Amino acid sequence: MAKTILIVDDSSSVRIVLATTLKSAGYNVIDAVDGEDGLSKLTGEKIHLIISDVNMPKMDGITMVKKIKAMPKYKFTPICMLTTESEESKMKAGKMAGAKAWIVKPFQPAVLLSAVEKLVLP
Amino acid sequence: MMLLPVDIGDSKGLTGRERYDNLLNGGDDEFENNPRAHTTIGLNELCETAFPVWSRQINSTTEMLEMEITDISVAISTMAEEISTTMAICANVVAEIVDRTEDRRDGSDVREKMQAVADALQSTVETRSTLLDDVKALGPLTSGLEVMANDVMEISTQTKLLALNATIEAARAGEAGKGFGVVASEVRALAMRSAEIAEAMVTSSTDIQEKICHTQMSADEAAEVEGKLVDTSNQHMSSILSVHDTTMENLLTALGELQSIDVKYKQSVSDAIIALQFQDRVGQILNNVSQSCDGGLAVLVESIENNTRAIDFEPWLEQMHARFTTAEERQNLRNFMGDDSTTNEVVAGEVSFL
Repeated sequence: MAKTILIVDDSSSVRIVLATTLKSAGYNVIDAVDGEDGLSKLTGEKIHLIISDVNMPKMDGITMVKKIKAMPKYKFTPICMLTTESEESKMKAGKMAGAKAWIVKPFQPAVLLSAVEKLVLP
Repeated sequence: MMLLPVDIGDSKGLTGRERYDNLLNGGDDEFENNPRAHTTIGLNELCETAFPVWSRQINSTTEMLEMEITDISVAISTMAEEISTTMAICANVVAEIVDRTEDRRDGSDVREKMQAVADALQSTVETRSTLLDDVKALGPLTSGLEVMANDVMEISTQTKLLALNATIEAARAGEAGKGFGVVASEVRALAMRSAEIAEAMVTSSTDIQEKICHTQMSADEAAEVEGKLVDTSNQHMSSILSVHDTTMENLLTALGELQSIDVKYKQSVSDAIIALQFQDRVGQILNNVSQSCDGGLAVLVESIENNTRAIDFEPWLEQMHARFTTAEERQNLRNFMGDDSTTNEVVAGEVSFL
């Protein structure tokens, strides 16, 4: 059965290319436009991985990660940040919040899929 | 009208930061000796008009950019999925044809199967030839049977003569030879019966020989036809195998080309996906510029309302700096400020496991 990945990004073009990349590798994709929307998509179904942007309107990625880590059902769901933020201090903030990986855009499909394979829940 | 100081030139090759510092510290020779250094009439109106317009232009540009790039992304994604599906179907079909033709699953191939058919035909011809040899071998046997029948007839003739003599001698003996005469009569009857059987054997033997001869002729004709059939079959099989070899060669070439195109196509899609993400980076930068314009306008309005001659740009600059997300934005600021230091940046595209 295909594994499900939630992608959260306010850029529609990024959501599209990210979904295309993940679907080509056989993953199911659910998408959300910001942190709030991302949280609303966590309705109890198993999510094998979350890939999220950092800078988004309404709720940023770091805040969303903190809230997800406080949810019993999803606290062990791995989260990968995919962002234009390249400053190490921001990456450390992501780590403190509970993110498992940090990728600075633009991502390379093969590199991203390799990371997803390592991160995704069995 | 509120007049604000403005830095309009870089006559000494100073950095932006140095020029701002000079401005804040009350000016230096550059500004004191320059009658236009401290005030520029109309700057307020210019800023009040330009900043909002710039901000709106940037926002509309960002929206247009995102809309267009989204459309392009959708088109490329759709094409990528369709091409990927098509390529997969083509590759599977060709691979299936090659696999079935070569029949790699049981280790044999079409050539071996065709050869098996040819061998079977040849074996049939050989079996028929052996059978024909066996039939030919019956000829001498039937000839021997005829000789034996003739011998029996000869013996029968001799026996009949012997029985005749015995009958004559029995008659001479009178009453005493009466019983012997009966025996002689029976012997004569048996001899005649043997002669009849021998004659029938000769007739049958001749009949069998004729039939063997006929069978032999038919078998020879059939063998000739089968030989030609085997030759024709071998020629056809060679022709089929030749076509098969050419087809296989073409299929394998096509499969190789498909695989090569698939690799190139996947690389092109990967390149397109990387390139399309520029919109997100550009959008972030433009959004920051727009917000900085709005912030600059707010500072200007506050300065006008408070009737101050100098803008307190430090907090605005710090906010602008804090909004930077990309390495390019930070580097541009450092270049402007004459700061040659570097910050620790995560390399784009690489994965950092935390």
